[in-house]
Amino acid sequence: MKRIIAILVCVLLISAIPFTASAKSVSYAPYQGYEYNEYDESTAAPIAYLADKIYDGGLMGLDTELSAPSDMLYRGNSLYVLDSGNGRIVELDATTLKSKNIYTGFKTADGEEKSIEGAMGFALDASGEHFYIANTADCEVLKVTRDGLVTQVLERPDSALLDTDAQFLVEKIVIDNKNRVYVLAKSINLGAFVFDEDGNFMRFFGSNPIVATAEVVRDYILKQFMTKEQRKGLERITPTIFSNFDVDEYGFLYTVTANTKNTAQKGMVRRLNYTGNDILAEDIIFGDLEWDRVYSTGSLTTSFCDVDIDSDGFINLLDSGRGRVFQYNTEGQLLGEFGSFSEQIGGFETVSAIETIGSTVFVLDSSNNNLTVFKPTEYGSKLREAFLMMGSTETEKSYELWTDILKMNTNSKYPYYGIGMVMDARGEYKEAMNYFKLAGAREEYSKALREYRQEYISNNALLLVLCIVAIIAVIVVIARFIKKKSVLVEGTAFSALETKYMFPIYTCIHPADGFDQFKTRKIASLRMSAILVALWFFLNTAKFFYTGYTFNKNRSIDYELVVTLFSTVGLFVLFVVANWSVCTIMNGKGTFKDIIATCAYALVPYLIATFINILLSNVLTMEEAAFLGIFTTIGLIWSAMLLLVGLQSIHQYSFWGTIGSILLTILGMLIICFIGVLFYTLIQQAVAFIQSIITELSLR
Amino acid sequence: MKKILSFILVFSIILSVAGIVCFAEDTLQKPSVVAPIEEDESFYPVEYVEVASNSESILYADMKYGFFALQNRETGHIWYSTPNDVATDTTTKGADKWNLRSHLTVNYIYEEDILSAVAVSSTNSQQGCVENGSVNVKTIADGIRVEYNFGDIGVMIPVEYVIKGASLIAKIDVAKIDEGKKALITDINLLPAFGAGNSSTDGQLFVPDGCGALIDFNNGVVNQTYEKKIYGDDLIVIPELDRTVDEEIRLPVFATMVENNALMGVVTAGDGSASIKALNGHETRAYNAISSVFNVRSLENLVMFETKGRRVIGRLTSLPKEVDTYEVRYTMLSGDKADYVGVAECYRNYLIEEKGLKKSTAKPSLSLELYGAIDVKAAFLGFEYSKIKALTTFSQAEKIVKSITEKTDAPVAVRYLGFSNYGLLNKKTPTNANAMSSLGGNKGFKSLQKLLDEQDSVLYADFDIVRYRKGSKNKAVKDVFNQPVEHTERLRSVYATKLDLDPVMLLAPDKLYGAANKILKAADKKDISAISLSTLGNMIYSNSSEKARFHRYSFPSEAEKIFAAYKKAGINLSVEGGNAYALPYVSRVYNSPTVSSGYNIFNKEIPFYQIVLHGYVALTTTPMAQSIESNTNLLQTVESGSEFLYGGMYRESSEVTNTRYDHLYATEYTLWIDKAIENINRYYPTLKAIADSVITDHYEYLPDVMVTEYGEGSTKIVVNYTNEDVVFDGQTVKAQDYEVLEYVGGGN
Repeated sequence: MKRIIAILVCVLLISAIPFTASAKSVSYAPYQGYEYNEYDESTAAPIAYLADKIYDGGLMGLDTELSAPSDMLYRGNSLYVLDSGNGRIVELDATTLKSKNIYTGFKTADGEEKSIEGAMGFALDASGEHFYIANTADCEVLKVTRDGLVTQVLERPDSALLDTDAQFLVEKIVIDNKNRVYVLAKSINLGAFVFDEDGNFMRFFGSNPIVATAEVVRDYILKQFMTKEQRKGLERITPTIFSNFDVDEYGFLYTVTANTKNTAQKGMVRRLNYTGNDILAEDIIFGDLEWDRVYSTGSLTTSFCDVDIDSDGFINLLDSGRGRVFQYNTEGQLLGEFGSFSEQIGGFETVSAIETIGSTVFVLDSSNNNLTVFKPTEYGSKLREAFLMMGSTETEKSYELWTDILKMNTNSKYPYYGIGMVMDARGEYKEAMNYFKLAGAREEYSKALREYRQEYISNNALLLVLCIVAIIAVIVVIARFIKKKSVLVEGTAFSALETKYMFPIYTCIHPADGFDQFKTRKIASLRMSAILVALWFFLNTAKFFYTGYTFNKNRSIDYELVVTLFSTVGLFVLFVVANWSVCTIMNGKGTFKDIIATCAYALVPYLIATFINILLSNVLTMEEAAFLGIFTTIGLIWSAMLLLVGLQSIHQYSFWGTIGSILLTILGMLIICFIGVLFYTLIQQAVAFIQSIITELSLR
Repeated sequence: MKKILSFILVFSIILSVAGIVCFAEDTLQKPSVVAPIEEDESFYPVEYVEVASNSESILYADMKYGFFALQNRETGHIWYSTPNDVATDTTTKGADKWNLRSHLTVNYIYEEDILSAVAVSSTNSQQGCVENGSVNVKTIADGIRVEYNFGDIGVMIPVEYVIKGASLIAKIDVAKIDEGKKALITDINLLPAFGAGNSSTDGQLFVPDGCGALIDFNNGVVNQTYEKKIYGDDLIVIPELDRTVDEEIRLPVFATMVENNALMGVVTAGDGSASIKALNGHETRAYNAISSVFNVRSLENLVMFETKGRRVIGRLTSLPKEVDTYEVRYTMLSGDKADYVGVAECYRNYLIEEKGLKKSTAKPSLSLELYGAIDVKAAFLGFEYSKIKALTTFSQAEKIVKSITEKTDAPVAVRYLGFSNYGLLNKKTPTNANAMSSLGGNKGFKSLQKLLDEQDSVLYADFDIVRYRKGSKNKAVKDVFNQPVEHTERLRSVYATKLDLDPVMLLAPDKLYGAANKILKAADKKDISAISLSTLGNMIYSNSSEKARFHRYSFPSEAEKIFAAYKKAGINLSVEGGNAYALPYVSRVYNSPTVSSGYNIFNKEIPFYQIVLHGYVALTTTPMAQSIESNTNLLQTVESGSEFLYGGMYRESSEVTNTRYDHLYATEYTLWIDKAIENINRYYPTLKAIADSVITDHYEYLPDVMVTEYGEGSTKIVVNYTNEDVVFDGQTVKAQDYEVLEYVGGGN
């Protein structure tokens, strides 16, 4: 009997289950993973973060959907969302993202109701008892308790620096570990307003510096020539205010600024110390480094609207230009990027805020009114762990991690860098150098080179001593040779050094006499000149390829034959032609052949310096770059002097006349270039015109 | 006590009997339309009369306006051509309001507006025909023929609705469409609301996106409609703006599923030029519907940059005579066949009966794709030249195969990419099957073939007859402005082209057969018996070249011609991606879709593609190294009964860094071979056991714990995607892991 009832009850229950066929929940990555190589080109990489789930108001357990939520913060066990459109703050449980509390209906002590609808930002003080809400529309900051009591209202402070009509359109708030309240107001670019915990205005902090771009400089120059009225009409050269900020655990303030140019810029992200100076390394640029080149809708570009420093110190940047999150470590090395503008999971319509809890990243979408949760993939997690271990003493673990990462991504420069650091710590400097080369890390390569050199020297002391002896011997032999050749040959008034083919060496040491002999003995040799110019070309090419890695950023595929040719042979020809033209006008006595030979022979010291530089650059470190500079300077000065003396000799000018003729030569070169460019442009226009006619005809 | 219990028992019996009785009465219920609550001018009283019937279905139609209803004799369920309670609907707003009351939605453009690239306009049969009383209905054998006269734009579209078995076949008689003098049709959405579910019904829409996805009725997702071309966007149009990353539709099938009843739609003619459109119910739309759109023509823009800015001129693609029919077959399913597994089975039967799909002859294997050679740019003193870099020579491939087969019982199925001609990406259209000398030449290839034959494995020689870089631009596909279409490689970060890489052109469709034939003859000479025609099963396109016009509509049949010729010659074929028209001819599909695109409008994703094909075509998933999370990829492979796919090369993958092939990172075989052997050794016995079965059931046991059943439950594979262990039928399935349960003597 009981069994029958039990069976019947089961049958009834089963038939009462509503029809829901179900299957595995959806996940996808509507974006491609990439990293930047040392030439700032994007290369394929595995995806570092994957969207786990999207939470809307319903999944959060709210009665009404979110409406244009504009900010988020994490504290304790809760994620707080500023639901601006509904004028409330929603407190969600950090693990389940279910609503725990709703804060709304704020009233002052007098019973005046304060609506926070449209508030763009908020913060929580250190005790967690008070919210500071940027009530944008009312131009005030409200300090409220969790019970809804408004305890403080911060309004626009009086400051001599502020324009009288500047509105206090507060947008974002951040509180540092000393309970100072930083308030960001739109269009006031003096920096963030800093208030103390009692609500007193202290100062401004962290304004963006004016970047001396070409436009700024031009405007400044023009301003000097303008009348007062005209100056008033000009737009003020003012720095833009940053768009959002965050404080890390050490109290550094990070600011991000929206972008108005085509490509990502320096200064869009700053880490400020207590004096308001940006302490991020000079060469780091955040965001997408490549230009979009989309003509129709105008280029998209990276434009940061929010930043969050997570508990491990990774910098998470929210790019509203492309709907992406970029994650960097503290050194500014890119871990990965994720997100896109799309209707798929992992995509957004409008991004408004980013927040992190550990390695999980939350992104708020103010058009779709939902929250997307991103978690690192295996690749992303390993990369985070490896980055955190850089510089630690656990080299073995680090090595293992980096090798694993290399297995997952063979395009990336980071594993090579990481392994290089391990090798360096282990003392295997030659290996470290190889890895740093693969990683494009020149500084570390240089450091490892120094250590390796030390090692090499101490290991091969005997060999080196022999080398030095050999070099000294070679120098002695050359000196002797020159001395020998300088002896006057029997029966003539000239030494063996003063033959046609040895002449370039003679002019180096005895320029005045040597260049005079052009006229007297007609010893100028076109063949030698050609050889010297050709040598210049080859040395420049060799410099491109064979300069030591520490100083050489060139890629063999970037070598441009035409450019090198023009900058050596072309430059030479240009100078010679211009000089000949100028000197003809100025009654110089030098023939065309003389000019060619003079210029060519004057090159010799510079060529020798270049050669020595190429050799030296392979063994010097970055700190010793000065040596290369010395050789180059000596070579250049010597060559310049030779040129001066030579031109003076052959043209028979006075000293100042020579200087004058050189200046006019340079002017002549510019004129020739200008005419050349003009011709080229004209021809290009003509060709383009004909091309467009052909296109039109073909389409009709 | 006993009395109370017996009372309850009797009561529940009466209830269930009453339910059955009511149910029985439903089987004979006639279709009817719910009248509006208030006076409504747009309400048309519909009178259904029976116009056709057979043992499985009855077709009713209104002979004045053409509305029809299809009734399932077995369950009595009625599928209405437009929702029958539309008159009481106050929620639906905007264009949806009228489109969901129509049989046809037509996008069109007037001839004089084409040049200035004016946006296309839209009309629907409710406002354009029914309200004007310009619908002509007449009965034909087994159904009706309806002529929709859109008076305003001067267009007449005839559609036939006939029943056959449990199916309704809707056929647009394209040849007889009369476009009048002014308007040109660009798209026709056929039966946008056939079988639609309203806001109080529970049910799901099945969308064939990627592997398959489900949209729950009334899921409330706003601002997102799903409309996507079957087999992918037309490749002769290069989008101006970035397209997001997503999966393609590979099967021209869709379905509406409610309790105990389902309606499956298959595009049986015109799948090459069709899209699937799905609408979900939300606050301003009261209905959930899925339908197909016949893409007739498209308006393409050319942007001309002039001194005063940019000017856009437009041109319309043309509709050739061979495009004469657009046909969709709707089949009713009921009872336990009315879920997505049942729909998959129904589609599978369609492929077997109508398209010649046969049981698989492929041996379950560990699938590999090996990369032969690539061309890279090198420079000597600034002079750029291309050189061939060998990534895996044939003897190296032998080493790789040996190191796998030594340690496992499973055979391997190798697809060798870039083994001939110019490497992974063709320079010219391949005309021969000569193995590259830098890889070991024909001798090396033969030796590799021999090794694989001994190991009972298959070696597919890959030929890409679609893409090429250098060669006659006359053979390339041209866009509507008669310019050869050049696909340039894009950066991964921003939508900009990599200017230094050669663009890729596509071979004109009418030249494909010739090229394929040449390869067939060349392969025959070299005794190559297994060929991978990768791209031919992966992408379709049209040609607007003035001399060689070709509509997408005809591409599937052109491709089928080639596949059939190969099959007839005894070639063991495989393709990549796996569009439906290739399936009856291939033994294996590489890179079959394992996921759907993850649109916000989707609620769940299902391995529909694999449920259809398991046991008939061997399927492999995404290569492990290129998947987002390799363990998730493994679990998805096991869940769908597919084969693992590893992409590999012998040389270090850093060789492809800074080339156009840098997406092949982490493919050098030493990186994955041990894991692959471990995975296949565990999976192979199961793979072998289920090779001949079909997937008979697939469901979610717990959230993110999936069960796939083979052979009526004799084998169950439980896949646990969660981070905690679960217990299924007494067996523990660890987190992020799977278990295979065998049941002797059939399912539970």
